[in-house]
Amino acid sequence: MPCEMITLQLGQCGNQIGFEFWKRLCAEHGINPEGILEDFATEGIDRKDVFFYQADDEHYIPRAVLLDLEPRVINTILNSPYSKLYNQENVFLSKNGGGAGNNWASGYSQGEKLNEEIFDIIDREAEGSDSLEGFVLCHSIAGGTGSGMGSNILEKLSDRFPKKLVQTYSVFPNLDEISDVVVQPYNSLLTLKRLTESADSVVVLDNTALNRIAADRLKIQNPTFTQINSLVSTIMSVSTTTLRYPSYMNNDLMGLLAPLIPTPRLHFLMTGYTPLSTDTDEASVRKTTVLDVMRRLLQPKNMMVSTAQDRSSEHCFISILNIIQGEVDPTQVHKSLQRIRERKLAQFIPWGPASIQVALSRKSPYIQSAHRVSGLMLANHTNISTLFDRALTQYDKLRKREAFLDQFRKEDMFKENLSELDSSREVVQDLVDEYVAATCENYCTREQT
Amino acid sequence: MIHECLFNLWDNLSDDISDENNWAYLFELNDFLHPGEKKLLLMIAAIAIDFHKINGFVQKVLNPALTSNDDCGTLVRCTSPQPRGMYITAFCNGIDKVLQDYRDEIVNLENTLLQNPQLPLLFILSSVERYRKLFEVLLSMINLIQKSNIRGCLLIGRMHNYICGVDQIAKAADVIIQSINPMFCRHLCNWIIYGDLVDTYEEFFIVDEKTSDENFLYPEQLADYAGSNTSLLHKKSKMHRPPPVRKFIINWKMVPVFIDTDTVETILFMGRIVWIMRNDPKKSTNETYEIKHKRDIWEGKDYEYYRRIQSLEKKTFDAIEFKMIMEECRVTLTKYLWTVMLVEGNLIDHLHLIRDFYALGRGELFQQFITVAEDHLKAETSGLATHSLNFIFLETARKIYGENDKTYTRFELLSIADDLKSNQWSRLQLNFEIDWPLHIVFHPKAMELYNKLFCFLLRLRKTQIDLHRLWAEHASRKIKMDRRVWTLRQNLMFLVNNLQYYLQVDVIEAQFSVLLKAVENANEFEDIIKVHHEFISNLLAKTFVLKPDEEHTYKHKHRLYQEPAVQCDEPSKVYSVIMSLLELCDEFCLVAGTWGTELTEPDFEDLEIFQKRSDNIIETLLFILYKFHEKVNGEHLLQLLSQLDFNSYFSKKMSDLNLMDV
Repeated sequence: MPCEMITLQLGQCGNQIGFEFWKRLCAEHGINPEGILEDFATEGIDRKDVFFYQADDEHYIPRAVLLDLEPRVINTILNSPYSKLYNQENVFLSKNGGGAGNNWASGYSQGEKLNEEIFDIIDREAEGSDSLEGFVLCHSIAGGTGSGMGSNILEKLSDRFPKKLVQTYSVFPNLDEISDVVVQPYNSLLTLKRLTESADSVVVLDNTALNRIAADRLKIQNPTFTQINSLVSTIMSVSTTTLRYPSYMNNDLMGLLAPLIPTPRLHFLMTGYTPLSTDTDEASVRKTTVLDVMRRLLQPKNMMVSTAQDRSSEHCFISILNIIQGEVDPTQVHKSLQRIRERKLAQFIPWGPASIQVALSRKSPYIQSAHRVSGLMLANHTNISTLFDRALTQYDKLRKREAFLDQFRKEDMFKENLSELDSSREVVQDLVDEYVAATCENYCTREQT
Repeated sequence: MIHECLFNLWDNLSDDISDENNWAYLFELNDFLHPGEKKLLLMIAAIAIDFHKINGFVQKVLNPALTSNDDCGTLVRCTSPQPRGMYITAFCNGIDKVLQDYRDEIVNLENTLLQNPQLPLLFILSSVERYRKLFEVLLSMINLIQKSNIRGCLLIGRMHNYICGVDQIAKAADVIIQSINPMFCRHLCNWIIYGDLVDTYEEFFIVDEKTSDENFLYPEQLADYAGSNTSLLHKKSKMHRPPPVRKFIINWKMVPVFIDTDTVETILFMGRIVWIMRNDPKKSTNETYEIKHKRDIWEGKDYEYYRRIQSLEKKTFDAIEFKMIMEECRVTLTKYLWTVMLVEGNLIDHLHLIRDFYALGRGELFQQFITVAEDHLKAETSGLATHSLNFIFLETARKIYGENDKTYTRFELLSIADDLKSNQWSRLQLNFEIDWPLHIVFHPKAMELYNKLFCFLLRLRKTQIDLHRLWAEHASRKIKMDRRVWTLRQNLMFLVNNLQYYLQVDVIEAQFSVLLKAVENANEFEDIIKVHHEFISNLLAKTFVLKPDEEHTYKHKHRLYQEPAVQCDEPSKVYSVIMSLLELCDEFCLVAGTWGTELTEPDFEDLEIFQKRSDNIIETLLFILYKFHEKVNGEHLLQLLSQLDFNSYFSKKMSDLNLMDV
């Protein structure tokens, strides 16, 4: 089947959001937890084959590879009703089962050691597809396995599959609460370097923003992992709808990403989703129009990334894609865009043409929604650099004190010196600088660094 | 003498009735006759001669066998052949009826004269005198018919001229009309209720051309019909072509004056609908189908409608009632056809398929098709044969849609030889197997126009894929590259993407939703034709493929076949600029794909040339869009302009263009 995507889920967080994602895809395509197509879903013209393949007995299997260094989350998945969904051969658990101890360096070096076993699975999966388009990697950047082993796999992927696209859904740590992972800033920075250099596109899922949204918008005081992850799975599933349903544009990942990412390094995407509601929250249902949806998508409070207001520079959008689902009157789309343009609701880059594109997408007929119209925004905004800036600041604080570096020095990479940390810092600093430069008119003509 | 005279008045079996001289023998009694009486006799004779002339004509028409040998003795010498036909017969019957009164009068005269033999000639004259005017008029009718060769249903119209005025004549005309009316009504009934045309004398104003209507024939069908060898040159299409539609036309010469043009069109339209309904191709081949869809055009009321139309014959002519009944029939028919199209023909499904395939609504299919076909094209130097194109198309579709959705099997690709089109993607045509009776909505002309759009969109899509590939190529290098290269790539990609976006969302999606809404609100077949044509002409005009034909008006609403309002073979200026943009992109993708990380000197030169060309094209495009947007129907230009210039980048950069106020 054309344009297949292989999903790699890494570590505790990666497997959790991956699990929610597959649950959601199954529901949208009418596939039951055992992988069997529901009777009501046999007539659909949706494209299940992008993310699933069919076994000889016709049941659907996700093109997913589950990887972890400790068994807890994967065991939960394997004990859930969805245990039969996955190809058991694609579940990889490290034999020692000790995890990465929230240490990037440990995760990275374990990944290096397990490299062959892991790529046996990935290669087999890749060979099984008709024309593989790319990989989707789910992980968190703060822990050990997702960040460390994830970084290792990212590097290897671009070596082994240079022509395949690599997209990641990367969970950024919640900065509002004190983390029990003391080396989180090191982990984040080291991962960010790989995301910058080895991934083609990174969808940033910022736990800070997700928790704030849960608290402020959904009125959940202490949101559970499941609640947060269901938000994440919504974003992941909607951002892939144009790949999974017949659509006039953005039919493959390339077509989706190319307009969004003009320059190779500025490939960190923000998302926004509206309307947000929980299962119990039926009262907030309002009459929604295209304009309402698009306007709300531009509001920072609906963004899944918490960005600080940086007054020193004029942050702006590089590109926007809105995926709108539901009962939309297409004749209203242009009018709504005009309104946004006239009122200058969105600031765009001054150095090149930019616009808002709207993909009117189908919605799964099997999932009932109280909302007439819903929308997801995928945006490339220079403001995302403030997130990286924050990561740099935290790193600098820790690094100045030379704190917690012992754990890193245990691993080969850092035995001799800590130059890897310095080089990562440099890469991330460059990235921040490039984002800031992209706010200026002379971005294209400035001296190349 | 008087009896002779009466005998002559009654009838004359002698051969030479027309000649006054034959009355001469009456004048042998010259000596007996007073000159006054002679005058009287002549006057009576004149009436009698008129009567014989009329009667002669009538007899000749009614009993052609009896008078066939009598060629030189015609009443009015004319070279035209003997008028024949149902209407003229009815006309003569009518006249015969009118003459009956006169005959009765003569019989009465005879009786009176037998009782009173002394009654003078004057008495006879006074009795027959009142017929003189009538006969004159009747003769003038006959003269008119013979001279102007008035026949068929035109007769009724002519008769209507006589209705006003003198009472006696009006009455006579009325009798004649009443006699012709049943003929007319029978024609009308057969045509409207059964779609039948039994008209051996070609007297009705609707003519069966006995061929297929070329408006509903595809080129290869036309070639087949012509029986020429060109059909062999045509790659035989596997698609089942819709059944031909019989051609019926209006013979405007035969349209009676009392029916207005619109009603005439309506009458033609109704019969054609019935003809089509009764010639359902599925009916003859499939018995279960026949039982399942027992077609009853008049919903069991055909007899009722027949009676309604027939009732028209009772009245001379009631324009209002006539129109009313016609309208009633039309409404019933068109509603019926509308239901058949919607329910049996799956009109909505067809519209969706047109959006999905011709307008590339299924982007994934065509994207993959282009990708796969391209690899094969590289291998084949002479271009791909149609059958291998179709193989790839079906294979791709099967892979994507699996077993659940087989709609793609209703389409087939055709590569047409066209030297004007250098790009092989713009030579592809799509054939669509259309269900009966929707072939009258999606007629060959409409499909030709859809194909024009298809070519354009496919061509654009191909360029877009190439640009995206170049992006992926650049992205996969993961190293910094010359900014100018990616800036140009990004600008070109921006234009192509946003153009595609404009076409797909602002034009196709928007127009399609308007169309669906209009179809929902429609309740007549004519509405479908109308909204469908509006859809096509808007689609082609707003996608710049063809210029709209602003002068075009849909003259007759009730017509089976209408031309959409576009100026064929006339692409707009915007279209040619877009074409040059696409050519530029193609060349750029080809050349830039060979560039390494470090640009060499010649690479730089090439880049600069590309840069200049692209600046030029962008400027021309924006200028044209801006310049023409204020014209009538130019809002769509502004729509595209504001999409391209969404962040005012171009308008700032080209401040001399003065686009700022947009």
